[in-house]
Amino acid sequence: MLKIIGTGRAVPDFIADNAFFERLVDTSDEWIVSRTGIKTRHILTEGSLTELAFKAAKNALDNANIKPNDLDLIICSSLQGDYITPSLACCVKSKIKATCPAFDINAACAGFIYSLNVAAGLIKSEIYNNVLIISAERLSKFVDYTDRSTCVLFGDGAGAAVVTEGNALRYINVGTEEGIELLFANSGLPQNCFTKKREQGFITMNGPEIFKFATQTVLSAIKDVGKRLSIKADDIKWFLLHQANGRIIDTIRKTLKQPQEKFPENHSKFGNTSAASIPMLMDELNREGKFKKGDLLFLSAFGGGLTKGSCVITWDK
Amino acid sequence: MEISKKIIDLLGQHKDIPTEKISKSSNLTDLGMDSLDYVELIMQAEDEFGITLKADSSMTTVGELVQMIKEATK
Repeated sequence: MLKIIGTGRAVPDFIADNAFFERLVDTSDEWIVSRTGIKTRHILTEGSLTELAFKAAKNALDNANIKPNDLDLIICSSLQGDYITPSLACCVKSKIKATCPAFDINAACAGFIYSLNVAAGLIKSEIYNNVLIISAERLSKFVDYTDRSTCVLFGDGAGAAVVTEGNALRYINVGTEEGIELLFANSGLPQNCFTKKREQGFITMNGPEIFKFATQTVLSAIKDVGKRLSIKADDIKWFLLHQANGRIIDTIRKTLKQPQEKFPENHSKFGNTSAASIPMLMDELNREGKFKKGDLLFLSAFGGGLTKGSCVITWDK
Repeated sequence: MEISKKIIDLLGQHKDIPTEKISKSSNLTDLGMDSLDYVELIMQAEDEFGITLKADSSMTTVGELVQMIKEATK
């Protein structure tokens, strides 16, 4: 169906460490690190999400050795771009001077894997070949910085990948479960003759239920992968899990009885960057030369909706 | 295995505490359990007993947790 031929990432310059949050709310570095593993996160304080997404996209195109005019499609996954319309994908398309179709999807933190799923289907249909996927998030605009239970979790960032026709994608499965009330943020409304003004809401999360959903989602996906591909957790070289919380990743790793080095992380530096977390992590490992051709990667993510998605892909670069 | 004994075994393994130091009246927070430890224990109980429990149920003592599990198994 597809293979990955390039990756990219970008993060904003401003870094909010745990000391910053100690001054903001009643919390401590010790509490934050022990419960989440997060030490710093990058926050978009200057510039736009479009610019961040553009940087990640450009890095991915360079890494893939693909020109913007060679793209057949751009898919952006994001909770929200800089505009209601035009889409973030169209904004990036304009900046990179591509001429292809472009659209956004919102599958919350599972957005990158949902995008891979969409791209795989369209590439298989032979309608499109080279697809640029960008997951870019400005979560800081949805965060209540007086709520100590959530404000320490989230960061801003963008990750991107260029995919094209190939046989590297060995398994992909996306889905949903009931749980709208477990993780949500209300949209705002303007005041006009038909609508009453409503302020945009902040991210509200039932932490324990989401922890349970996340852990069970990934473990269930591994079982499904085992059935369909006849492979075991031992056969997977890299577990690239959504970087929501270090404790979730730890619980999964211990349940699967796998060594730490198979579970790379970036949540300690960037916090939970929603859909951007997996492509950002993938790019980091790619640039560090950690991936070897033939390595089996397991990607798994979970988010508001509740959305979930997992895939197994061979590193083909 | 009897529910109380199983839960005490799981708690002991999870927090590396000898099971003879855990009883039904033990306070979960005093045993070093935070809310995420609690969710992990809930998930293990679900797997062990084939039940579904609320992750945010927040029982305070071992006894309350055991009682909640007993009711879910009926």
